[in-house]
Amino acid sequence: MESEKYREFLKKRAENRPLYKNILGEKIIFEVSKEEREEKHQRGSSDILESILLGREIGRNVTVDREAASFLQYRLDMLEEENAQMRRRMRFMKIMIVFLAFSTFVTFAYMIMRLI
Amino acid sequence: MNLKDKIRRWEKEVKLRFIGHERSIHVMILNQLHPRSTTLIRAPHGLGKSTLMLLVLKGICGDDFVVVSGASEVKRGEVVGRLHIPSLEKEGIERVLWAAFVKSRGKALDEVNRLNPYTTANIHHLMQFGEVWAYGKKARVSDYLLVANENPMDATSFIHPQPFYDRFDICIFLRSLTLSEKFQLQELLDKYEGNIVDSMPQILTFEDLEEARRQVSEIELDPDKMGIINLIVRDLQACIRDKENSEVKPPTLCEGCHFTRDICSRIKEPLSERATVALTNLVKAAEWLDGECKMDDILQMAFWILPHRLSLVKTKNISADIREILEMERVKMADRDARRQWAILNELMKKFNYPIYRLAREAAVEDVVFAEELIKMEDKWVREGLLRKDETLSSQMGWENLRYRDVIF
Repeated sequence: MESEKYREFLKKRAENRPLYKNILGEKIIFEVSKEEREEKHQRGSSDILESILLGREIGRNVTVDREAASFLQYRLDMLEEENAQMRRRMRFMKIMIVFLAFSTFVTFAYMIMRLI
Repeated sequence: MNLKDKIRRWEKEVKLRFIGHERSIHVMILNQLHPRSTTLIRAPHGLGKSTLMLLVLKGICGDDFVVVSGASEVKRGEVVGRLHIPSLEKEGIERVLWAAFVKSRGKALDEVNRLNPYTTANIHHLMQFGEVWAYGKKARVSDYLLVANENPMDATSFIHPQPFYDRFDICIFLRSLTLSEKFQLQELLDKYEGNIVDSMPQILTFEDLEEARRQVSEIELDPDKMGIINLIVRDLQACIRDKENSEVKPPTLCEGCHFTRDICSRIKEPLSERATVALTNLVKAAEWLDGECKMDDILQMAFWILPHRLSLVKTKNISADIREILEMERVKMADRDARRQWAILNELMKKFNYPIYRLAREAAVEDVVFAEELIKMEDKWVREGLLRKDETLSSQMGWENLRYRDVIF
């Protein structure tokens, strides 16, 4: 049985960041709440995280707060690290392909020479 | 003067006599506002560990507190109790004379790192059960405040067990003073003729402190704050490979793990549940004394409950490392909000919905704590026939360790 406070926590967080269902077939589209939309309209700027993570249209001005910037920086670092790792793997695979091609060629050549 | 003003004055008087550690002193005062509070001060030698410890105690107990020093020879009789020889000789009855340290409300441990393991074991028992044993007799220990200090760099240190340190609610670090602060200290020493500790007045009685503790305990935190506290602690505990019960620990355990870049991979031994209690007490005290405690404050307060509890995979500078972990935690929380994880979970709690469940699965592969909750719900849906077992996240990702059950076979 779930704790009542846990349920309240989820409810409160869900109120702060609501999930609006707009089910087209099986697709769910996140939408910002009416209040949030109005607030954004008043501010005249949009949150960069909304556009990156939720595919929202970017407004005239984009705001990047400290949390969002550090989040993006963290994500970029992770991607760069993964990129470098993939490059290393690709280089290794290329060397392996060349080596295997060469050894196959040598084996064939050796077998042909033996047959002749 | 009302109780809160008295507590504020206690803090002010300590700050007037101890230069350059305003935030640490504030957290230290907040930590005294719950029953059987324990505080550990960690610093290299000569930075004022003992001075701060005595200042805090004097503010409450005046001169009525007991200091047990690890630097001197400590016998069991001085910490717990000794046998009353005349009673034994004349009446044949074993009577125990309980030590002043047991009876005193203000307890201080100087140089904890030098305490021998036997003394440490006795104090550990006192902190754990609120009682002491000697010669087959038991004595209950009434409410107290205990402040301890240690210099872990000391060459003559004993290595105390992790559960002993876990009994300390918070850990305060002290640093050396900056140039301008040194001038302030010299002025202070001139003002009090070198007796900074002696000049500290008793601001409130232990009964006042008990009343403050009672009022703080009545504070009820809102679910949002409780959620943040539980999330911070859970993020520093959760492991998809069950490191709590694993003989192999990170970083070896993390090899090839899906969450290898997450916070969990930086923690060797997870936090205990006491961390939640300590952080909750701090937040309640802050709400009572300061009138509010925001989300950012909770994250900052977490800094004081972690250093003596966490064992990290790589430690360069424990305070810098913990700051980095808390910054990662802040990003993680923003990430969760952006993915609307809690709204998704809230919807799924109401009833199973396949499209929302698919969103939840996407979020779960980025977050162990969320995955745990989802997997628990999956078990229920499988039992109810709403989901096939082979469709579940735990089956597809091979996260069987996250399938929490009462008995693990």
